[in-house]
Amino acid sequence: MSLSIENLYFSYNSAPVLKGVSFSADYGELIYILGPNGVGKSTLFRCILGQLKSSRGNILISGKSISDYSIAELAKEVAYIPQSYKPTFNYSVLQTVTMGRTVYMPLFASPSDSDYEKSREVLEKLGISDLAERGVTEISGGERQLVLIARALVQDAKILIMDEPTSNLDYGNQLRIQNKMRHLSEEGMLVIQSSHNPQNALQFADRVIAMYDGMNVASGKPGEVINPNLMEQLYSLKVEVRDGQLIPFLT
Amino acid sequence: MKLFPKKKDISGRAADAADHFPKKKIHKRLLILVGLFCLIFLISFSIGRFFVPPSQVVRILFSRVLPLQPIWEQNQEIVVLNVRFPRIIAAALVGMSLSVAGSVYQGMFNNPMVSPKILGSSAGAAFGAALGIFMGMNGFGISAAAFITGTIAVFATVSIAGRYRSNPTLGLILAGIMISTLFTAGTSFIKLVADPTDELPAITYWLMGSLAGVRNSDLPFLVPTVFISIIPLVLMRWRLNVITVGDDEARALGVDTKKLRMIVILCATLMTAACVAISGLIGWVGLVIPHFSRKLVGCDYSYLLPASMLVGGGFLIFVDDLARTATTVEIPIGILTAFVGAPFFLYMIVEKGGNK
Repeated sequence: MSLSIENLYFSYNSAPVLKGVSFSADYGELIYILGPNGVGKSTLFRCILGQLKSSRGNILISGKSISDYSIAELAKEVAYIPQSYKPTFNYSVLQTVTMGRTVYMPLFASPSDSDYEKSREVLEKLGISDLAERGVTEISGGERQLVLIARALVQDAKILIMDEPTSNLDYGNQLRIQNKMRHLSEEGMLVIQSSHNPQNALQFADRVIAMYDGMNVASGKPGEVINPNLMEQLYSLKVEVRDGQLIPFLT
Repeated sequence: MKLFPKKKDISGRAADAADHFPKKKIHKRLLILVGLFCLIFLISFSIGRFFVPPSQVVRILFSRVLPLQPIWEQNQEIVVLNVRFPRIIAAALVGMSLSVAGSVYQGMFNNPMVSPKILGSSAGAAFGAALGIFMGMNGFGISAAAFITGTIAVFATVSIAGRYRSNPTLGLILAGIMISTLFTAGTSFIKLVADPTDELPAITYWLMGSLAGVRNSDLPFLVPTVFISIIPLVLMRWRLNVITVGDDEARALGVDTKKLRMIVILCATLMTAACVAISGLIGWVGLVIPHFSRKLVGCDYSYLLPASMLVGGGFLIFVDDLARTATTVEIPIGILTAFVGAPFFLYMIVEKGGNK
């Protein structure tokens, strides 16, 4: 297994946020993590990225605990795409993407021509090569999210962690990005994203992991996991699933 | 198929709005900055109450390295080499240091409103200088005290912030504000108990900043300190770019942000403390110059660092020229940088808002 999470506990102060999360995942999977606000999805991600240290349990990447990885070693395994990117400084898109190559550069080095070349290839692949010289504060939110994906791709990590990557995007861009994730997992990456959209999960996920109260309460194929009982538990909402569509009952 | 079909442009702005800072343009601008800097640097030796013709200035300066026939007057040489030389060099170095420190701090804190004094170095140095004056130290003693307390203040800020783990940059800012407040209170207390006939004016004058007291003997300390602290920042210029995306993201990109932050703070503190110890408090340079430089060459530190050095150095030489020539009495340079800096900053904000 490329990523195993074993009985993970974490608490910020005294109240535990994660209370025994366990699952494992393999390359080539597209995993959606569903759960209500504040259930610990972001905390789980920050643990996987090595930003937070769990109080109990273990996270293994390729069989090795992440506490044994250096920051640079971990960055070669796991790339991260935040919910949104609101840059303060107006770097060009090409420069922003090339920041993903930093882990392969010595401390005092600047990007080489081949680093920029790699960035241009990825931009080409994502269909945004005409943005390369634009300022990253001057492009739209959907374009910026693609730039972040490009930045993660040049990092050459095989695990991609995404924290609600499309929650700030319009309907069309949401689906385009989700579809892109689908392609990336088909190319052999392990893509794990948190989502507030069970409908997207039904449509795109290989596997859904549901989190509630700091634990994973269900895991499996989206068609099996996303059922009225679970939706009621997670969101206190009565729904019906008909032909792969979620239909909520609202009063 | 294009994932994002190019939007039709209705604002009148070309759809692929001009390349974002093309390299040629940046190189040209840097060359112009070098030219302007050299011009201001040389002209400043001529102007003053005692005018020295530029041709003589060049001859006198080169006479130190080339065997030239002395066809200038003795007092011209004294003015150029002993009076103006240390002042102009110090102005250039102080301007460079404050601007470089400001530009790296703004990136590191991901906040364009940050200036070099954010971690308490200025407040600490002011306290040291006030204490030195109060205890009747000589000029060297006062500078040393300012340097030491400035460094101690930053050290205190960093160690307190280390206990605030959830958001290290916010921790630094909060601790910096508190440490600054403490040292400022200490300075106020010294002013309260200082002798109002000589010590109090000396403290007040020091706090306004001035390069009038710089001597050639200050340079062997100032020059190496500034260069030793600028070099690591220049070498790490790409990582300085990466850290502007924020702590968590930079870490996920493989940057050891904690280590990088410590190196940046160490370098910035060394050079600003060395400068403040010699010049007193000079505000606004570290905030305004990085902004202006970013407008000229963009935010890539490969260009932003040299641009900040040239603009900051040139600007402070120019303002110091004003300080010593504008009126019959010397005007403290800190007052002038505020008079020039604040309106300029307002202009940039208004102009930026107008664009959008």
